Amino acid sequence: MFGVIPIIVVIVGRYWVKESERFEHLQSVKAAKKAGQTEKVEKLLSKYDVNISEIDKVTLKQLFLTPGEIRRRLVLLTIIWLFYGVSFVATNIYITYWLTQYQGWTSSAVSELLFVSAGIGFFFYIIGGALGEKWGRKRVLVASGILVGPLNLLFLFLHTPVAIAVVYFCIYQVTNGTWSGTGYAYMAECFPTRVRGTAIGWLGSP
Amino acid sequence: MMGAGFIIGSLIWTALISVSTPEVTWLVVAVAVGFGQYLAILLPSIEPGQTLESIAT
Repeated sequence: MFGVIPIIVVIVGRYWVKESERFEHLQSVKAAKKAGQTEKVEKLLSKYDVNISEIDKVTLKQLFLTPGEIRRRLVLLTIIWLFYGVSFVATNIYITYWLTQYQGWTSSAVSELLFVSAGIGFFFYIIGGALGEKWGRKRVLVASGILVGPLNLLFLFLHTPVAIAVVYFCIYQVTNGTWSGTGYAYMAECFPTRVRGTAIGWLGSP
Repeated sequence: MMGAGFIIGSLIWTALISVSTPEVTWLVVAVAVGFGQYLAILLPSIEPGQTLESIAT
């Protein structure tokens, strides 16, 4: 029931989700261009700019086969998110194994640590997002990303429970809250509406 | 890509933990790969307060 009920709620909730204004604008631009309505195209572009030379291409071609800034961003974000996903395996998936087998923690102690980290971590998503609004997404991403390696290295040499708990709490926040809170907003801002869905799908999927 | 990272990370972790020590496994998967996130420095800066169309069209 815990698995089925949320899925049903999501299915029902999507009935009220509307297409974004920018997506509908893009569809109007495509239709007007296809119909040869030059004046209408120009009028629509005065509202939101769109790269007219690209919109007729298949989105995958626009993303992967068109050299330029958009492809550079996609490749760089792909590599960064692969690094993030791989290191996340150690710090967030096998962490229970690590703490119980290597550090001698009990399963319940690990559960408590994860509960506290995730519970307080809720606020770090908001903090990460809010800092991104103020300072820019990249600064928050870089600050979070820079802390991951050193914190993970420090974690390896700790053996007292309090030190482990404190450093792991910090690791959890930079690998979840502040990174994700700003990272997915940054992804969306990196790509124009004409390819945003495909780009985010690529970066967010396996 | 996060899902692909999970798969690759799990494969590396499983392989290393069976042929080396937990310390080496942690050093490779958590530390060495974690430093890969430094590549975020190369990402373009997007200053707050811009419209989407001024960032990319």
